[in-house]
Amino acid sequence: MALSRLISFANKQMLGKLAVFTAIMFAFGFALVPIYKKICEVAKVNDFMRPEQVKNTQVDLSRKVRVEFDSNIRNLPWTFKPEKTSIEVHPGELTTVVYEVHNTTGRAMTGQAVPSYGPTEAADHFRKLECFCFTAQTFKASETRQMPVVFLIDPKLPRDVSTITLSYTFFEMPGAGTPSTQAPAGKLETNMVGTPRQAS
Amino acid sequence: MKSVNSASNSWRSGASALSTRVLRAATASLALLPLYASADWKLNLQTPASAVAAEVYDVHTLITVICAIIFVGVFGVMFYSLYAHRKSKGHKAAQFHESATVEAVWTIIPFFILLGMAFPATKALLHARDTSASDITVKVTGYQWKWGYDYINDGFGFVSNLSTPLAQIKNAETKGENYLLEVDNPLVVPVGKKVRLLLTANDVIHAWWVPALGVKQDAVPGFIRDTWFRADRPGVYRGNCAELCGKEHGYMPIVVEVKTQADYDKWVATQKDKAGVGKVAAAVVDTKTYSRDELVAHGKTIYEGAGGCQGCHQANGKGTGAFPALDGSKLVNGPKDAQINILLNGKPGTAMAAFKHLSDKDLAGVMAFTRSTWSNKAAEFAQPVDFAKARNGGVLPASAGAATATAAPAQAPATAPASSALAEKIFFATGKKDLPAEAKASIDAALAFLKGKADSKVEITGYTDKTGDVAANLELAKERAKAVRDALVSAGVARERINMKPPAEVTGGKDNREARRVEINAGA
Amino acid sequence: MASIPHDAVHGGHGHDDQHDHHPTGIKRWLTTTNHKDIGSMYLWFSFTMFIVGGIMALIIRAELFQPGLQVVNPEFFNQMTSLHGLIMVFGAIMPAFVGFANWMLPLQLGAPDMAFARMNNWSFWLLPPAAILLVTSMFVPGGSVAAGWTMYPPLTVQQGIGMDLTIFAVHILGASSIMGSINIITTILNMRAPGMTLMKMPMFAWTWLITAFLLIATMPVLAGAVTMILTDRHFGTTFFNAAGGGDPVMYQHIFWFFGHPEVYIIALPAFGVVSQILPAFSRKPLFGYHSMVYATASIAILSFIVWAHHMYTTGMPLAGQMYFMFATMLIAVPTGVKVFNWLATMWRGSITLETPMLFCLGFLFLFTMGGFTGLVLSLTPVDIQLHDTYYVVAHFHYVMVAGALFSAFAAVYYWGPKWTGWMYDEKLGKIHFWWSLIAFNVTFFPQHFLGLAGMPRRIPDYNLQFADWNAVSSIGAFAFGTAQIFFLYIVIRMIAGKSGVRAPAKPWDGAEGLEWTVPSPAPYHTFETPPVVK
Repeated sequence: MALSRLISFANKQMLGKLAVFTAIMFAFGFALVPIYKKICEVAKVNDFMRPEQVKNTQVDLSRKVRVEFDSNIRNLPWTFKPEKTSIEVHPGELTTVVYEVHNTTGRAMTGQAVPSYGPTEAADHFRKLECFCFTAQTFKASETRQMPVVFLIDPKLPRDVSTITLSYTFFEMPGAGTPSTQAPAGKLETNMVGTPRQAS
Repeated sequence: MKSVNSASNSWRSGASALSTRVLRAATASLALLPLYASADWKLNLQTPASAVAAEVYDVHTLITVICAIIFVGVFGVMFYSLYAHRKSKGHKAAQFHESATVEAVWTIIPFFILLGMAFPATKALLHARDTSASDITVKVTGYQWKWGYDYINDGFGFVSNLSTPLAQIKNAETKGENYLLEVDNPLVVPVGKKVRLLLTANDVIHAWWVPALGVKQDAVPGFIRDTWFRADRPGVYRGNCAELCGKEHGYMPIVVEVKTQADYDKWVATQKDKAGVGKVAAAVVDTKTYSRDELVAHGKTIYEGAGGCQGCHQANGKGTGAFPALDGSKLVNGPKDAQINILLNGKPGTAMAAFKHLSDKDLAGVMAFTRSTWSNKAAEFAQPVDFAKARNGGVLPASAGAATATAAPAQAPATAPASSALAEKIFFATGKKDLPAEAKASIDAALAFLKGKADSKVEITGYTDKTGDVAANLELAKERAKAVRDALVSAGVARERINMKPPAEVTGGKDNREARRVEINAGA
Repeated sequence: MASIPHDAVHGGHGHDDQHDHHPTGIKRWLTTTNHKDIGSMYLWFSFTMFIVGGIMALIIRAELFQPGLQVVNPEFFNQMTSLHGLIMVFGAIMPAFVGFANWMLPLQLGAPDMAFARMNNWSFWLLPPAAILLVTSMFVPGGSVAAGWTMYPPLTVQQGIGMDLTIFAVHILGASSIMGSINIITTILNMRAPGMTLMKMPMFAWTWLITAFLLIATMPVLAGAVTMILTDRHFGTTFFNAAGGGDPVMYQHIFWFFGHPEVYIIALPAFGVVSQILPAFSRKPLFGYHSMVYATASIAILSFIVWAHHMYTTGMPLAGQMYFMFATMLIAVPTGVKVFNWLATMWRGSITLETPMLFCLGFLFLFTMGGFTGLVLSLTPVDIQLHDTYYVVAHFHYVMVAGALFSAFAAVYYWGPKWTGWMYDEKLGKIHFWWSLIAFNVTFFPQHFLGLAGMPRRIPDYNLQFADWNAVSSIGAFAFGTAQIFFLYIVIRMIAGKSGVRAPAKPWDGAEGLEWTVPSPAPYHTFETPPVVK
C-alpha cells in the first residue's frame, strides 16, 4: 500500500533525526564537564590552578584582612603544614607564606595540591602569583621541603569579607602509587550476616 | 520587621503547642506501638537555638500555613463538587470546557503568592550565607566514619567518635537517651559567638548537620566549604551526618556543646595543655644527661625519619649533588658548637634549613649519630641541654629542670623509648595485618641489629588505634606483631631472640596512622 | 492481560506480515512485534519489579520498625535503599507507563501498531537482562550498589563489582528507554489517523509525546554520567576526583540534569492518565485542553533549568542558590494550572465514583500534597534544614507513589476491561483503593514529622525520639504491601473473567476516544484501515 510505504519512509527519517538528537545529548553529557569547568572559571569557583596576572597592585592601607592557612593530606604518608596558621594583610599587599611538606616514607612520592577557598566568593579576589599547587610535586624519600605561596588580595574584595581561608589538600598523584579504593574498616562491628569483626 | 518577628515567634509557640497537644491526644490511643521513655511523637522542627534556625522555623511555619490554607480551599471545592455534582443525585453535566479569564486568573494569582513566599525565604537565605566577621574558626573534617575538629586559631584539634556502646546497637543493653547521638569528644564553642566552620572531607562526601543550630553543609573531599552558626544559649545540640557516606553513615553523630565564654576559655586552656601548644620552645627543658649510645640510637631514628636528614645527606652520609657529605665532614668531626649552630639555624644561602622545630633531644641525637656513624669518630658530642642553652643565647632557660624526666617531645607517641640502637616502627593500614612494603627497611634494621651482637634480642609489640572493638583490636595487634616476627624468623632469626610484648597503651593519633603500628625495640 | 484471545478475532486480514502464523508459547512472546503483546509484557515486567522493589522497601521498613539493628546489617541496608530506588524508578514506574503507551497510543491515535514494531520488541527484551544485572549484583562480592540510587561519587568509586553491574544495567535501561521514546515520538507524529490533528490528540498522547522528548534528552546524559564513574573506577580518569582536577560535585550537576526531568518523565504520563479518566467519570470534556498542553510543555522546559535545587547544601554560590530557588518555585505555576483545570473539569459534572475515578481523586489529593511539600523544599533556607531528611523521603513518595502509582492503578482499572474483555470486580477495586490510600498515608505522612524532627534519610538505626513514628510508618508499609498482592488478585480475577461481566466496547459511558470504538477485548490487529477523525 502506497500510504504505508510513505509512512514507513517518514518514520525512518524521523528515526534518523531522533537518533542523531540522542547522540548529541550523549555528547552533551560529556560536554558538561568542560562547560562546568568553564562556568567555574568564569564564576571563579574551583579554578585556582594557574598563576594569575596582577594588574592592580595598589595597597589598601585602610583595612586588614585575616588570611587563614589550612592544610589537608589525603591518602599520603606525608606531613603538610603551613608555617603560620593565619596572618593579617592589607588588600593589594604582596605576601609570601610557606608551607612545609615532609615525606615520612622511605620512597619517592608525587603529590598534587589542590587549593580551595572559604568563603567561595573570596576566590574571585585571591590572586596567587606563585604556588606549589601549579604543578605536581615530587618528594624524595624522607625529604622535607618548604614551599612558598606568593599572593595578594585584590583591593576590590568586598568590605564585608574580613577573613579568607586558603586551604590545600595534597593528593597522591593517580598512577604514581596505588590509591586506596577500598572502604576502610569501621568501628561498628557488622557481623550480622557473618562478616568478620572489624578492627582498626 | 521586628514586630513581625516577635509576633510570629509567639504565634509559633502558641500554635505548635496547641497542635502538638491535639495530635498527642489523637495518637496516644495507639497503645500497641512500642513506646520508649524519651519518645514524644515529635511533629515539628526542633526548637531553634540560633537566629538562623529561628528564621528557618518561621519561614517553614509561614509557608506550611499558607499551603494548608490553599489546600483546604482547593480541596474544599473538590469535595463540594464530589458531593453536589454526583450523577446519583441526578446532576446533569454542564458542557463548558474553556474560559480564558478563569485560566488567566489561576495562572497569575499563584505567581503573586509565590512572590510573597520568596520574600521571607530570600531574607533568611541572605542571613544564613553571611560568613563574615566570625569570632572563632573551626575546621571540620569528615572521615569514614567520624568527624575531626581543628581549632585552627588555637592550634589544637581532635577526633569525635560515636560513643554509643555496640551492645546498645545490638539490643543487648538498654538504649540510652542519646542513643546514636553521643560522641566521645564533642565540638565545644562559646555561646553568642559567631563560629565559622570550614568543612572538608578525607574520603567521600559527608554533611555536617545540627538541626537546632540551623546548619547543614556538605563536606567535599579536596575542597573547602564554609558555613557558620551562633548559638543563642548554652546547651548540648545534636545532629547527624546527612550525606550517605558508606556503611556507617548512620553512626557518625555530631554533638555541639555550647559553653559560656568563661567555661569555654577554661576548656581551651586544658585542650592547649593536652596538645602541648606553646610548650615546645620554653616550657620543658630536658636537662638529663644521656649516654652516647642512647643518643645515637635516638638520633638514628630522627636522621632517617622525622628529621628528614637522610633525604639530602643520604643514608651512607655521602651526600648527593649540592648536598655535602657528612661522612668525614670537618664540621661534623670538629667542635660541637659549630654543629649545634648549623642544626639550629641552618646555613643561609644554602639548602641547609633551620631545624629548631625539632626537640633538643632530637637534635642532640642527630648530632651524636652523625658523629658516631660511617667513618666519623668524633669524641665530642652534645647533650640536649647544650641545645637548650644555644637556643637561649648561651644560658640555661629559667624553667630548666622542671620536668627532667619527660624528655620526649609532647607530640611523640607515649611509648617506651629505645634502650639501645634499635627503635623501628612499621605502620599498617586500617584493619590490615599484612606487612606494608615500607616494612622491609625496618626488618632489615632489626636484622642488622641482631647480627651486630650475638646475644642481643628484640622486642616486638603490635598496636592498633583505639577506635573499634577492643577485643578485635587486641587480636589484630597480636596478628600484626606476628607478621613482623614471621618476617624475622623467615630471614633466619631464632625464635628465642624475639620477645612478643603486649602493648601497654593504645592511643589514637589524629589521623590514627601512627597508632596502627608494630614497634621493634632492642630487647633485654 | 496475557490471555488476549487474539486467535478468536484474528484472521480474514489478507496481510503480508508475520502475524499470520506467529509462533506460540514462549517463542511468541520473545518474537512478538505486536504492540498489545509488548504492552502486556511491559506491564507484567513492571509489576514483577514493583514486587521486588516493594520487598526491598519492606526490608527497609522492618529494620526501621524499632531502634537498634535487628534484621539486616548497615551495608545490606544501604544496598536495599539504593536498589529499591533504582528498581522502582527504572524497573517499575517507567516500564508501567511505557506499557500503557504501547497498549493505548495506537488505539487512541488510530494507528495499526507502533512505528517500529521490531525495535519495540528489542526495547522490551532489554529490560529483563538489566533487571537481572541489578538483582544479581546483590550476590557478587561486595554486594550491590550501596551509595543511593543517585550513585554519588566518590562513594561509588569505593564500591565493589556490584557497582559496575549497576552501571551496565543503567546503560541497558537507558538504551531501552531511548528506543521506546523514539518509537513513541514517531508513532505520535507520523501515524495518527487522518483528521486527528495534534490539538485533537488525547491528553495521554500529548503527555507521552513531551515525556518521550524529555527521555531522549536526558537518558543519554545519565548514560554519560555513569560512564564517567565507570572510567573513574577502572580507567584512571579523574572526572570526579579533585586530585586530577575533577570535582565530585560535578557528578551531582550532571546527574540532576537528568534527574530532575526524570521526575517529570514519571509524573507527566500520570497527568495524562488522569486527564483521560477525570472527564470520563465527570461526563464532561476536559477543562482547558489548550492550557493543559501548554502547562505540560512548560513544566517539561522548566524541569531542565532547576536541577541544582537538589544540591543547595553542596556549597554553591549565593547567586546560584537564589536562582534555583526562584526557578523551582516557578514550576508551581503550571502545576497549579493543571490541578485547577482538573477541578474545573469535575465542577458541575455528573460524577460517579468507580475505582479508576477514586484512584484519580486519590492521585489529585495526594499529589497536590506532595506538590506543596515540594514548594516548601524549594525554599533554599528551609531545604538546607530538610535536605536528606525523611521530609524529603515523604515528599517524593507523595509525588511518586501517590502520583505515578495511583494513576497507574487508575489506568489498569480504566483500560483493563478493554484489554481483557472482562470487567473487574468493582467492590474489590474499591477495597483496594481505600486500603492503599489509608496504608499509604499511615506509611508516609509520619515521615514528614520524622524529617522535621531531624531524622536523616538512608540510616539503618536512629535515636529513640524517632521510634514512634517509625513504628507507625513500618506498620503502614506492610499494610500497603499487602494491598498490592490484593491488587494482583483482582487483576487475575479480571483476566479469568471471574466477575462474570463481559466488557462492552465502551464500558464507561462518559469515556471518549478511538480506543472505545474497537471491541473488548481489543482484537489482535486494530485500525488496519485508519479511522477518520472529524
